[in-house]
Amino acid sequence: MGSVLLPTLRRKREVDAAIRDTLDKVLVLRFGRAADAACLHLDDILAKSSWDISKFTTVALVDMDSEEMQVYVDYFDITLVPATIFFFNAHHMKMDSGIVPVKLSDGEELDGPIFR
Amino acid sequence: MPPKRETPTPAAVFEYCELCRRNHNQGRRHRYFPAHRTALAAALSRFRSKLSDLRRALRHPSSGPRSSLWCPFCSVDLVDLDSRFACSNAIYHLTSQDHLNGVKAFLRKHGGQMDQVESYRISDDELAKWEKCCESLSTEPEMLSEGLIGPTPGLLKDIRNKSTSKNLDNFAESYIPYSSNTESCVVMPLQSPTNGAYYPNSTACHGSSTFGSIPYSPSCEIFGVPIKHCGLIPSHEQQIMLGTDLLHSVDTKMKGAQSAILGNEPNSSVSCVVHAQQKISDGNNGQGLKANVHTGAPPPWLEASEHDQENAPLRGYALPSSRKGKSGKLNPKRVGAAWAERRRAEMEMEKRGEPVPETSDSSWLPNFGSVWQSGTRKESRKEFEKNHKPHDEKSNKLPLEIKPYISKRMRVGSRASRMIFGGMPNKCNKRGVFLSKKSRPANSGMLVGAFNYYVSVHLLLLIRDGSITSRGNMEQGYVLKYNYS
Repeated sequence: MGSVLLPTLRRKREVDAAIRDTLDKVLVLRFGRAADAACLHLDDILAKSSWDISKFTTVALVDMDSEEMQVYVDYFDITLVPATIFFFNAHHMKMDSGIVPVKLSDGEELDGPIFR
Repeated sequence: MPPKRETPTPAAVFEYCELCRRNHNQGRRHRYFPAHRTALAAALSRFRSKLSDLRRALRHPSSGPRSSLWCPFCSVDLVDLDSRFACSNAIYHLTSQDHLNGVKAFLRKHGGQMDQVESYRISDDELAKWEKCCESLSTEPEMLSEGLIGPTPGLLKDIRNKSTSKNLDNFAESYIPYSSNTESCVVMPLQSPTNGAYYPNSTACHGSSTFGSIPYSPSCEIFGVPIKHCGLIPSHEQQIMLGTDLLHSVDTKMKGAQSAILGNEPNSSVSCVVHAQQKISDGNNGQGLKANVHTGAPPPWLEASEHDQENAPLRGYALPSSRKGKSGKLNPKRVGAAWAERRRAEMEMEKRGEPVPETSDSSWLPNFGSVWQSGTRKESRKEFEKNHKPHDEKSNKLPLEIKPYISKRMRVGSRASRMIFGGMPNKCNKRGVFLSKKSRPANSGMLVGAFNYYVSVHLLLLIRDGSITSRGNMEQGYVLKYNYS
């Protein structure tokens, strides 16, 4: 699932550990499924950009189909797949998603979110 | 005519040139070579400079430090050994006849200009003057040792003067009273980095004085978070430490005391304290109910302290968090600064193998923010508290009975049907049968539009007293026959 570079979290305690122990770095959790084409596309983009942002960001994938992940799905009210949730020092970061296109280094364009 | 025999040149004799510092067989021609002339000029200029210093000493004889002078003409090192005054041996030598002869021989050998001989020696007149000065100086030293308050102007001209230095030492010794105050004026180097801030009382123990009757518990020291490294302003720092402090020793009894903090500090870290007051032991609402981030529910990753021990072996799975260079450069006002510092201390303790106190109590909450709601995190917490209690009651109920699906149309009461089908009057026949037609306008509501999308045939609805019968197209996916008895 996803990319070889990005870790996939399937258990709640793994997600807990990732959120609690990622200090002073932005944690990006992608909630999605391996079978979804949009998820795979996003995973590819995240994997490509993870190295460039590795100094201040950590990216991980979360399997929504896992039973233990339903808690997070309910907590964040995730309906659209894929969904990216941002954390910083165990604080859930509010996001204001705009429609500003972001062009990546490899030429792909992505609708970039606007951090508030 | 016999060929002119060239007289065989004698074998060239190698000579050593002191100026060029090399052997040559050029004979007398060597002195005219440019390299030799350059070396000669350099040597003579060096001697002239030293001679000028010596002439200065001639004018102002003094018992200065001993100096040595190398006379290149005589190849003699002139050192003041027994003379009381500086450069006396050199002066005597330069005035001697031997030096004059040596200068002439040197210039003759190395091709220097003979008219400058006098410039490389000291005349007898100058020597006489110098000797007079020396005699006069020898009779004056008693006057200098009487402990004058300030050094004489004449002695200051030559700081290398031995007598001057001695007198200055005496002067310093005589004015010891200044040194007695040095101890009080000693400035010790800073023992800890201040990062530009000034900490009159840079310890968390003084936090209680700032916040009145709020009790202080020393549990914050367990984590070994050094306050000196925070680099925060004192009030902010103390509040954060107190906040982290309260996170661990929180009780419902402390609610009233903690409420005082909220009014003082709108910092997000303090709202973390606010969240700590809640008893979220039942926060694990994993039953698909509305306890989510929008309603301000506690985040799942901070629930249930029993997971801490399970998480311990998974530390290696935790994503690496590299520090941003050195921790001192991190913005102390960043989001979750207190959490990061505390968590880092806990991780270090775990690495050392020390027992880590339970940090995530059931009542602890992170600083969450409702995504779809505006306002502060405090308001989201209040909203969560409102919604949380009824959720507890619902969670205790038994699951609903499984009943067959009843569409809204089928349900007893026309209210539901009116809400679904909008404001259009229901067209019913005499028997009270409601007919749904394709001709129904599309703008009668989203649900109506959706319903019309799926309806392809007429629905016959017969509402009788206590009985509902309907027949519908199988394409719609349901056929319901429900009879009340």
